[in-house]
Amino acid sequence: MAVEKPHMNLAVIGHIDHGKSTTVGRLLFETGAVAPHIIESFRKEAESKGKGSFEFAWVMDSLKEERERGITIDIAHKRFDTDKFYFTVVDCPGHRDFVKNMITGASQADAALLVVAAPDGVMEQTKEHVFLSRTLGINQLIIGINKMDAAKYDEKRYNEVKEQLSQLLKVVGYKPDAISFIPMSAFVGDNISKPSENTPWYKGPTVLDALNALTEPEKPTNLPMRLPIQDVYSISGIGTVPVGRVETGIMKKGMKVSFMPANKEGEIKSIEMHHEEIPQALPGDNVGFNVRGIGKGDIRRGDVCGAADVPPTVAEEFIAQVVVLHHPSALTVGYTPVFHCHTAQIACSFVELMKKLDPRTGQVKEENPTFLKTGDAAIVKIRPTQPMVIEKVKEIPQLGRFAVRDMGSTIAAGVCMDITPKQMR
Amino acid sequence: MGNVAIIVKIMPESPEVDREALKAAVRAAVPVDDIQEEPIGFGLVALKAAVVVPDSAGAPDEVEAALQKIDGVASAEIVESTLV
Ligand SMILES: Nc1nc2c(ncn2[C@@H]2O[C@H](COP(=O)(O)OP(=O)(O)OP(=O)(O)O)[C@@H](O)[C@H]2O)c(=O)[nH]1
Ligand SMILES: [Mg+2]
Repeated sequence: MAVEKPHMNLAVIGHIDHGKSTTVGRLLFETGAVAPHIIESFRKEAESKGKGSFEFAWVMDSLKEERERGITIDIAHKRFDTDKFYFTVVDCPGHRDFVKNMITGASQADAALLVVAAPDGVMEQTKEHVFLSRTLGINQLIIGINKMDAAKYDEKRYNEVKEQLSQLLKVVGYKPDAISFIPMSAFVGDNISKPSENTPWYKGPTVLDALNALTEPEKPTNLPMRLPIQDVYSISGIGTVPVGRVETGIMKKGMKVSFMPANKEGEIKSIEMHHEEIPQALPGDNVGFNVRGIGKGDIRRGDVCGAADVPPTVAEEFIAQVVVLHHPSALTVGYTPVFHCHTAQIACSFVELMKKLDPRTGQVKEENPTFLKTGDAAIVKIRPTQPMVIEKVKEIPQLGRFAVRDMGSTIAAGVCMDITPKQMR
Repeated sequence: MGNVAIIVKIMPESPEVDREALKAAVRAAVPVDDIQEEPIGFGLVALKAAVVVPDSAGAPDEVEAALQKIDGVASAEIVESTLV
């Protein structure tokens, strides 16, 4: 019996038109994830239409149509296998309004494949996505310098783009030396599954090699237990039942827990998942649990359940690194949009703009800037208008990220660097 | 501009909410391609609906808002999104 390979969520990111979808298609194709009979039927169709060569683009187009005709929950995700892992691919939506869902959503990407077209180099969305991957806590990155066929497979151009990218990556704290920059063509198939003769100067891994070299992420079971509350129920004959997804640590039956900012304590009487009672719940588990000592009215969505001895942190103020994704004019001190952090949605004020960062050098471009605009990255001080749980991204990354929204549109994304905690006892 | 498949997790207000009626209301509110049940515990069952929306401004909010308005829904929240 084959042992199931470890699973990885792979986000494919990059600027508009740089070849993300083509790359996903190519990966599915080269790893055999597209059924052979589908490819065969296209080959036949191509022949019958008198086309001498089989056109890869056709396959992709028709698969796209097929997907759009009727999506099911299972095939919403594209899956392919390499020797070591099975991957599900998230081809990230381009519009920033989807960013909130990526930050608060269920399936955190374990690695990202950044696609950059060689003829264009680093573009606006390349920059945005690199900042976002960091914000989302994606620590493993592979870079595909795509469309090398359209850049005459020129080593000099490859090096220029690699250099541009290295600068950008350093700013947000990635180590370019530890990252593969693969010259490729999703269209032609260069350096995807085997080294290409078109790039004899390149000695590094192919895309599949780089995917196989990723490391399996560990479940954050060693961190303090945190479960942001989604909904709270009062079930007859049982009592108060909060529902949510364990983000970190282990929730155990009998455990003493603390709910913040509600500032209530209780004891876990029982935990259920898939309608079965379980002795403990792990990160990623969607559970309902019955707590002794808590009434339905005591806690609500946005509160966080944590271990009583390491209770969730309530912030008086916090310092954050943010990237402004879109602001119609200028963001200044006093601005109070809604912060979406785990299941909480709380209006928070920008009380200080501390530093503006230069994306090209990583250096502080300006101390105490008077405003921030679209595309800026900055260190800022934030004060929630109501008690709110947030954690330092270095300590509990899952609860250290947020999206900033205003009037129905996404303004910024960021991570919490430091906290002035509110004394709750 | 492409289309995005989003998966929305819908929680009922109580275990007593009629699931089939809720599914019908969900289908009437947004263009659903698939609905699955995810049992949680204590009689509570989440619905997971796959919906395809354009990759454009406001699209995810509109779906969440339309579903939150349904009688018997406690919360509706997008848990996954990917281009199709
Ligand atoms: N020459 C060349 N063209 C490519 C390559 N990869 C993709 N293209 C072309 O570039 C265009 C955009 O490709 P897509 O895969 O749709 O790009 P994308 O990044 O998914 O675009 P959006 O989803 O719109 O952001 C298409 O016309 C592709 O055929 C490549 O390796 N070489
Ligand atoms: Mg695309």
